[in-house]
Amino acid sequence: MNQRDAFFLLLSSPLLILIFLITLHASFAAIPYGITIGDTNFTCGANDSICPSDYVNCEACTDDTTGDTGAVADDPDCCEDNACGWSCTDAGVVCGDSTNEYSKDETDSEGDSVDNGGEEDCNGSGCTTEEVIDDENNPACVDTYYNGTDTLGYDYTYNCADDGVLYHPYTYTSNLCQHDISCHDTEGDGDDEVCDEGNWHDPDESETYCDAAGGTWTTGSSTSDTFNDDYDGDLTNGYCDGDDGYYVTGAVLAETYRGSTSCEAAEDVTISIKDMSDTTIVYDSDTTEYSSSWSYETFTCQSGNEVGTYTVTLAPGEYYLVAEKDEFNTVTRSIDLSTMTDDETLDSFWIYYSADCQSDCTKNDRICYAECEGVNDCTFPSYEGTSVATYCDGLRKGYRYTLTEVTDETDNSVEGYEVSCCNNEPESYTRDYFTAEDVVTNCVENIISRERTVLVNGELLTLHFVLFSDPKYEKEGCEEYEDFRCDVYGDAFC
Amino acid sequence: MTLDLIIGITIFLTTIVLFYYLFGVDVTKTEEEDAASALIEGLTGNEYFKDGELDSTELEALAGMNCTTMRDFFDTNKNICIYATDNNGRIVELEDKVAIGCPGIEVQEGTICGEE
Repeated sequence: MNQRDAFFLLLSSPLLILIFLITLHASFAAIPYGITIGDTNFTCGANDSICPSDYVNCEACTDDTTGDTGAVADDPDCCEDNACGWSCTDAGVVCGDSTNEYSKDETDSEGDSVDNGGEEDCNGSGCTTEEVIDDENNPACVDTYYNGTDTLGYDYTYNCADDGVLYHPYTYTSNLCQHDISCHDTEGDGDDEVCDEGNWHDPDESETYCDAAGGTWTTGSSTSDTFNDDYDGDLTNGYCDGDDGYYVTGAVLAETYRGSTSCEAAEDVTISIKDMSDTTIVYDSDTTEYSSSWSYETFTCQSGNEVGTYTVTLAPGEYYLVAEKDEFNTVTRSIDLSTMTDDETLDSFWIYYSADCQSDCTKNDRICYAECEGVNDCTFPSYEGTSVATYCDGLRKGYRYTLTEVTDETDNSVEGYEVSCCNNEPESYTRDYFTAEDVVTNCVENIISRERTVLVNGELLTLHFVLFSDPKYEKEGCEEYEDFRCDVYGDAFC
Repeated sequence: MTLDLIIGITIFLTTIVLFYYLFGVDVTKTEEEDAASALIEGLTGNEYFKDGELDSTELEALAGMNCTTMRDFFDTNKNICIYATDNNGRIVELEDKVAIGCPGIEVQEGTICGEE
């Protein structure tokens, strides 16, 4: 080494030291903070700095082996069985979660304060490396761990495994669950399950696994995909999670009004699949959603194929299908799916309006009923001291009932009061004699009218259909139609 | 230019004018008439009119249509306006409108069709 090399090394030595220190620090930093689920667990009194933060309150530790006086930071004496009341030397016990320490404030492995409720404050950062997630799918601090044979440590109810068992990081050969190791209530019973060995494992049922073929929980030993698969063959959508069967789809129609022969899509109908011997058992349920293109059937009760559709997941068997919606009678149908070997589509069915009085004073049949007064918010207004129910009873909803009318001979018009049945407020009106010749047409050309007599809400009226060409806004007095073509034909004409 | 030529041109021009006067308007008007006839005939298969009755729901939907929607609904390329009269010929409002459909004509005291 010549002088120049030595000089270079001398100058670069601070940099080399810095690199060395960074490397050293990184190697320590790689050690996961918090509690490790596995072979290594922090214990008090060692070098893990998990000593009580209130050590200062320990005036003297009886087993003072380190020669210090009282308690000092990281004093292992304070974690021994001593006068301060700490008992942290039991194997696997995490400082801060011991029942012996409940009333003490502590500092956890990350130096964060631990409240006296006993839950270690990991703030998520440490726990993410532990691959344990709590009931609310958040990184959880673990106050107990399971080494595969024995349960060590203490249970804490907020953890996923309410029975006190938490699971190893999932390193099994099956990777089915590795992407989702959070707790899920796959059975929908309010009790979470965790993923273990590529399957959902109910901690409350020791070593029980989902038998996909029957959709029931049973003691299982196999962890093969085939064993764990559902009927639908889709391994990505969970196990024993309600999809242990085939997709059963159907459609629901509703009568347009009570007594009508026309139909429309029945939306927001609650569909429940129930056990035939015990209808309190519900296997699956769904709420119908609008579909404009039901291709399975065609209907004569409507011009389109608009239905409300539902999809449930069922294993082969016989069930009750119950359809419920406000204002409609509940429909219960038995469905036989015992021979089902694939996804199934059921025939559509109708739901029918109930004959109860409604708030519009009809019985869902578009007829006004005086007897509905006071029932289900039906209230008829009065006109000159007489209830409108007197006039509208038995008439179609929307019928224009004339309460009073006076003829003005000078201009051949009539005026008076009318009510639009059933229970609208009476209104005044003026009505003039009018023909197609009276239509003002100076802005259009080529106008022609045709008439058709139609019952409008039960009243016979003549409808005049007037056809005409586009208005010419260039003409004097027709400026208001300048945007006509733009509005009717679109932006190209603006 | 001879007198014969002048008379000939005059007759020719007069004939042309008469032709358009007598037939030109009728040709256009026939188009409207055809559209109107087709519309009336189409009512028998129309969703709302096929039963010869308009209920409150149908009337509300009809009155809520704008010009474009109503043209589509009646399958016509002509502008359409609908108003109703009672058996005395007096106009009856449809969902608080004197007439429903396309603007362009005025019905009763300057009310433009389609406006309330």
